[in-house]
Amino acid sequence: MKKPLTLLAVALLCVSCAPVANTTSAPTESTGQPTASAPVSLSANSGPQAPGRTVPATIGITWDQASRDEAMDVAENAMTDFARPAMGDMQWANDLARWLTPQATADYSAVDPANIPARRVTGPATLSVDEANGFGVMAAVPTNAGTYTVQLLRTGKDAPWKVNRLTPPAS
Amino acid sequence: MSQRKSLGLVALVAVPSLFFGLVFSMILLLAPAKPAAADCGPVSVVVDGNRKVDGYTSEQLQNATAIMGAGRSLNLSANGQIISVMVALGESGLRVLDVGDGAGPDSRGLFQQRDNGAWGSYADRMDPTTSATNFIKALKGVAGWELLEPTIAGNKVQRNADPYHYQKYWPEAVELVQALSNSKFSLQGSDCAIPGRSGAGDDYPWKNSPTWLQVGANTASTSSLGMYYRECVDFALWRVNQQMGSTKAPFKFLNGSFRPDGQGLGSALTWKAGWDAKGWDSGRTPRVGAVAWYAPGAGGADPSFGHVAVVKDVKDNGSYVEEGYNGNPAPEDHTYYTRTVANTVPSAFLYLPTQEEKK
Repeated sequence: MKKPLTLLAVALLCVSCAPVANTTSAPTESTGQPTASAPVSLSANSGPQAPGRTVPATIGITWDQASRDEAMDVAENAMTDFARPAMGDMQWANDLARWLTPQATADYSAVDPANIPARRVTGPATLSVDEANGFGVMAAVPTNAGTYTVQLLRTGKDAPWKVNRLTPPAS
Repeated sequence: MSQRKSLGLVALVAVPSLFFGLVFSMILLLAPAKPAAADCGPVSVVVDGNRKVDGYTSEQLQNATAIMGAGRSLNLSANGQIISVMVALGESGLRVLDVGDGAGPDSRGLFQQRDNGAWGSYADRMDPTTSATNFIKALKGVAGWELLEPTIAGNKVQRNADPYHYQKYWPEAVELVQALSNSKFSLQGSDCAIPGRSGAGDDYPWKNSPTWLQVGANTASTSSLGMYYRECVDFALWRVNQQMGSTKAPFKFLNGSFRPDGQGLGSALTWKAGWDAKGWDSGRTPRVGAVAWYAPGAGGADPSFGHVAVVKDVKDNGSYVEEGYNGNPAPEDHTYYTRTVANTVPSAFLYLPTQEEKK
């Protein structure tokens, strides 16, 4: 009972405390000068911008060693299943789909495996971890046809890593 | 199919600035001219020996013209014509190649079509118009191709090992088709849904709708994107949709379905997390059309909910121009604004897949 009332009070406070600062909009492109120091009012004091409960800013997922190990395994396994140009296209797509996000499953469904230059993984995956982003990571996976960049995504701390993209080496 | 080889060729034509010959005396129309405004249908093609586009040889321009002419004959939309030119750029650099590649040694022509019977004879595959016609017929046979991302639509036909291979050729293809077309189809605003293009100015469709401060937080204040009307996030998500080729309901990118994990994209404060969850890239460099993301409190943003805007222009002095909604104090709140900002002020720039840097 207490909480909603508090929230309501805060909301009312926000609505009533319409900007009092003498902020002015920064000059537009005509000046061509950065105006970072000019006072601004970016969505200030107007409350939530979207319906639904407010997701806390700390919704992000943190990294740990298990997350890294699992990401490396999935990157290597997916690349191993990807790099099979002799496989029939139906079985190739079905095997690969085990590792893929729904988006990637759709996008890779038209690939003809015969067009894939890679035939085998030649070493362990290397992760490029952004500690601030626990949802995704890039893995470099070496193959006989150069190093692929594998993008992995997960939807939660305990959700499995899925491959969203396997980008061939730049030529 | 020839993804390796074509990259070098296309490096020659990277980032062309367009230049038109001004002589119109020799214009030959492949199709009757259509009304200029808001024509999203097939573009008619100008075959003009004097028309030049910087960075492209006359051979490349003739091949692009042949592709567009084939599209016109098959009543292909402007979007489809750009997809066709994009694929030829990605396969052959718009050259009639008489050579294949490692994965497809029997690939030939503008579209690097294989000798597997699906693409006709050797002569067919080496003929610009015939090979383009066969590509376009196959494209039209892909269910729902117009709703797919251009590179995915193209790859449903080409079956390349990398379905995203064609993505980086899209901007060039848009410029080429625009330069070679005589019906000045609109690439701006909501007239034609051409992915990769943003709107211009205050074209936000709900600029007169009530804010939630006016009518309460309910359906009367909620846009069809799932955000509150005239909030920074509703304008920015509108721009995201426009740039992804979605300019009217039902929109592709909604508050409730943007993220793959069931969470809402939400107020500005969670947009960076939304981008991470979706696997879309972000960074510290402004790119036109990217979302400028302000964490709560950053650069004058609301201390609880943050702020988002859209990069309108990038200056060469370490600043950029942003556009958005609700960037001014009352009574100018919840309206369109632009301002010039130092690149270092926002917490991050959130990129769209169409803004990938060319390698």
